Amino acid sequence: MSIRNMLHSLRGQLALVFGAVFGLVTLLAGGYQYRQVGQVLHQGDDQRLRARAIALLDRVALDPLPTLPLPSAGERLRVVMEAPGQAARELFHSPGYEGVGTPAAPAPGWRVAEVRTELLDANGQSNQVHLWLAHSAAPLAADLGRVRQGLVLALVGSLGLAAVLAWALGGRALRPLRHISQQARRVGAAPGEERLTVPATGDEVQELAQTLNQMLDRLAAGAKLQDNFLAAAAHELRTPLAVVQAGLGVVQHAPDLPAHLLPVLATQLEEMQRLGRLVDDFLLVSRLRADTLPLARRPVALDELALAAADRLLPRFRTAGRPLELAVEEQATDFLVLGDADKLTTVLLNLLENALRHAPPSSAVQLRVGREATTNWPYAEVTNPLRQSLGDLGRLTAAHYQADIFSEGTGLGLWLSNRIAEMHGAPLALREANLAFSARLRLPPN
Amino acid sequence: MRILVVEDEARLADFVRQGLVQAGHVADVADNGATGLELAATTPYDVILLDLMLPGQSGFDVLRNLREFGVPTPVVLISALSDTEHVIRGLDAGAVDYLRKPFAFEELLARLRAVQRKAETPADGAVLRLADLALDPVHRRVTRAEQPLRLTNREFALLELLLRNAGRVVTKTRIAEKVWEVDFDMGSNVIEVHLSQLRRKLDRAFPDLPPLLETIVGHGYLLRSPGAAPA
Repeated sequence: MSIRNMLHSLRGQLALVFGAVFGLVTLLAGGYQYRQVGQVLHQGDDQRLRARAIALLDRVALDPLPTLPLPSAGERLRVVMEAPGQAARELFHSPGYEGVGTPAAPAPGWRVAEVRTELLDANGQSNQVHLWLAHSAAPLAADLGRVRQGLVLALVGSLGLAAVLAWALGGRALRPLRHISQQARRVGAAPGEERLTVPATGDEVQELAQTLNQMLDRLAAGAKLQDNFLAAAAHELRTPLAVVQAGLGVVQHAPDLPAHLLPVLATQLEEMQRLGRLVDDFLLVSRLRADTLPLARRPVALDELALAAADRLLPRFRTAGRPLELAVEEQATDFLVLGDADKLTTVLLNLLENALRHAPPSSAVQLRVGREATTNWPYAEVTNPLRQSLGDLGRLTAAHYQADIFSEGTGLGLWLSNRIAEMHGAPLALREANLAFSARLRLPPN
Repeated sequence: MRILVVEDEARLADFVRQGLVQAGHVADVADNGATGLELAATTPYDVILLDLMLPGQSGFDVLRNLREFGVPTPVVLISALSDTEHVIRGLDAGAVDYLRKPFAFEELLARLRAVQRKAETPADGAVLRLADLALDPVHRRVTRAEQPLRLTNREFALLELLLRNAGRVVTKTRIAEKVWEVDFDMGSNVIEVHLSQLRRKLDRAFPDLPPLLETIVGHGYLLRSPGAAPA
């Protein structure tokens, strides 16, 4: 399954939604936590800076002379004294102190604290002493960065975990659906007795299985109705054909029939037989299209089917002046296949009739039965010479395609034969070489 | 032959009756199962042509009732139902043949001749034998060295013809006439291929036994006991 398909799958979308919701909640909670932690760290840093400033201020003395402590490395200090009635006098400032800003507006990268006290000078006069202490904000920023990194890692980890959990839970929750899907895939367009297993989960999956089974019931009923209709149609169509055909057959043998009518009757009889085969073909096509054609598979000898089909069409080959040459490979012991004898006979008759139609006058049609050397599959192959090349052979098995529009036929024969062959395991193998066309029916051995 | 046609489609029944009479048979028609049953029970018919889809009771019902009444007349089913399952059901129910509509009248006559041939074969002592080969025309069984052979109808007819003429050369022309019922060149090597198929089942399947079927080049085919000279 590709990533795209995975993301579009129900399971993938569940994982995405679950991961997104979980991620959003984690992000909001993490953001709130980050703000709280930031405030605590800021307050702690402020307190430390202020405590340090107070400690330094405690060490400031004005009596007898102003005495000032020195800041540690990384600290910047400014001390200002204000005597009553005099201008404020800066006692000290560290180099570069100008760039640190004020406590209210510290410069970027700096934090500043201000403390003040009153001290007596040598004259006993009270003086206001202000002390500003600044230190780098980098340690605080580093702490905050670590907290942020931890939160991001936790967020990503949570998202991953959520996605994995959602994927696993989704898979577990969707397992009955997959089972239903597998079962449904095995059901054909015309379902028989097979139904989906309904899981006793009491949820939407159970409801879906029940709904699908109801649909299968309706499909099965429809298929049965169609099958009954086709059977009735077959009966309704074949009965009048039987009446006409029997009538023509009787008249043909009437002793007082004028001789000049014989060829006319023979032609009509032939047309009636063709009509009968057409009805069979159309009914077969309807059932093939509706996927309602049952196969009554049993072991059958392909050589016997082929020879019986050839037997049935011999009179037509003789009338058409096209010799029919038969060959059964003698080395093989048998040609047993598992198939529907009726349907395979239809295929063989179609292939032979097709060859009869397309072979030039006087040219021989060959029917060969053998076993393939590579696969050992039994086959029956009909070969006939051609008047002209057929071109793209793939089109021959398309419904209603006629290789020669001037020849008889509906163009259904090869399509229908190919479909029946496919139902038996392999499509017809069509080949054209040296202006000879061959169609091979290959079947897996029994 | 005296034939009963049980068919509800009046025009078809009429044509069939007319054709049968024309072919030298005697034919009666019943247009429903009950009448057919009554006629079959009271008249000694040689064969009954029975449609499957009849009003009232189906052909299957009629066939079952016939057998329950002890009427042994051979029944050929005629039906527009062409599925294999119907054919199997009909033959299992006791019919001797199944003809699908529409059918060529010649085919119907040929099948009736087959029924007649079978009926004319004496029930006792009818088994044809040659060496370890036995053919029972009544029950359509063939065995060689006590092992059953599964033959197609054509192969069975070929073997029966050769067995009935055992020790004599049977020409291709005679085979065409008797087995394929044609008196002209069929424009095919169909006889050779069917005989080859028969040889596969009869001789090649028993490599330890001497072959029984011989080809007499330029003349025909011969079935004879090993060591026996042709007549």
